Amino acid sequence: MFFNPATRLGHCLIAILSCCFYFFSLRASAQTEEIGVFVSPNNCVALTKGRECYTRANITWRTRVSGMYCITIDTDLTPVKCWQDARRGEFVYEMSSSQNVTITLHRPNTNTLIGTAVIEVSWLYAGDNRKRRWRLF
Amino acid sequence: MFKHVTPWFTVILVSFSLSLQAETEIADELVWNLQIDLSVVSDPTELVGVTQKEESDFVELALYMDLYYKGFFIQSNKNRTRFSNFGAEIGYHLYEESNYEISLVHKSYATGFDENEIYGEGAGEDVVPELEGINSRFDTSMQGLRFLNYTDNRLFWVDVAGDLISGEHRGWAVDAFYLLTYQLRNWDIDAGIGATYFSDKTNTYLYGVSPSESRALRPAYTPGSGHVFSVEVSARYPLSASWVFNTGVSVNQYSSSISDSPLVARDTVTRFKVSVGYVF
Repeated sequence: MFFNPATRLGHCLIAILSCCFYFFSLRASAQTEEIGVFVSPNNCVALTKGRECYTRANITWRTRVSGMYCITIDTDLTPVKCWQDARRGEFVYEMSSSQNVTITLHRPNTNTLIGTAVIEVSWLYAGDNRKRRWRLF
Repeated sequence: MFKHVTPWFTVILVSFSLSLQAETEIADELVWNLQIDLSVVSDPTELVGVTQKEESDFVELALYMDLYYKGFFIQSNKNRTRFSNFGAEIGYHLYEESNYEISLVHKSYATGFDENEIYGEGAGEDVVPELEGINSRFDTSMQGLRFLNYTDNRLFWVDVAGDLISGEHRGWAVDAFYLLTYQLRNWDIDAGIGATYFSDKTNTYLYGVSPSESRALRPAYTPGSGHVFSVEVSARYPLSASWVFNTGVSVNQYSSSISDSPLVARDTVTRFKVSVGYVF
């Protein structure tokens, strides 16, 4: 059997590159599998300070252990959503608040806090805007 | 493109903003806002022969400033920087309650014009043939009283003002505007209706044609008093904590004493604007 050295070198390079690609893919996958609770977007901008800010926030969470997990918002202990025998979950939260909103993931059975995420509320105009509604032209 | 921002104006406002930033930290009573807007505008006027021609005529860069300090205020009331005082009005609160106030106000209620092109950077060079030979109408600021009433979603003002300082025409004007704001999630949508009344002297100064200004196709004209009705709808949306999106349309309807003037081409003017602004 005849092997061209150049062809062999090429095959080796392809194999090495494939290994590298696989390794970095695994690593990237591991990074996206980060444990915790995440929210996107994590900020909401209102026109004026003190005004209700509205946004549709996508909340995702991941844990290492399956079980019952619940999401609560701010200091309200009533869960907005719970999952049974789950290791991950997501849902869309319709936010309407003039202040920062804290999202908490916990295990109600053991009362264990798993993680938190915050949607920060900021604004464009800090002052009283009632008198500053001027004509466009 | 940057026709409305002369270099000295920019220098003054930038240095002003820097000094204000410094003052804001030490004076709680001082409230200010500075905004730069880049707009695309369809901005026809009521005047004969004046049209937007070049691409740059449709683009506008403007600086707006609001400032309140111990009763004194400067407000960029109308987003038209070719008005005198850079489009701003200056005033002092004589009386202030929780949702209404009475103020002294110094403000221009009409845009001045002359025989030159008022759009573009050719101002002072391009003579509008239909306006050739007319005297300059300045953006005469008037001085008067304002009654302003506002709630969370409603604003009403009426100004009564006269030309007390410049002496250009010694006329007077009444300007009233009613505005409703609807909040639709993070949007503000404004709907407004207003009217401006010009006395004989003010209207004649703006739209009259004196014998010395008359030509074969421009007879002398004395209009008497006049008025403008306006309707506006506009919307604002915060793009971020520093950037704002604005858009709106306004329709102005001029009385026959104005639209019959040889200097005026139409009795209805519709303007449209889309802008992005940076809020300091």
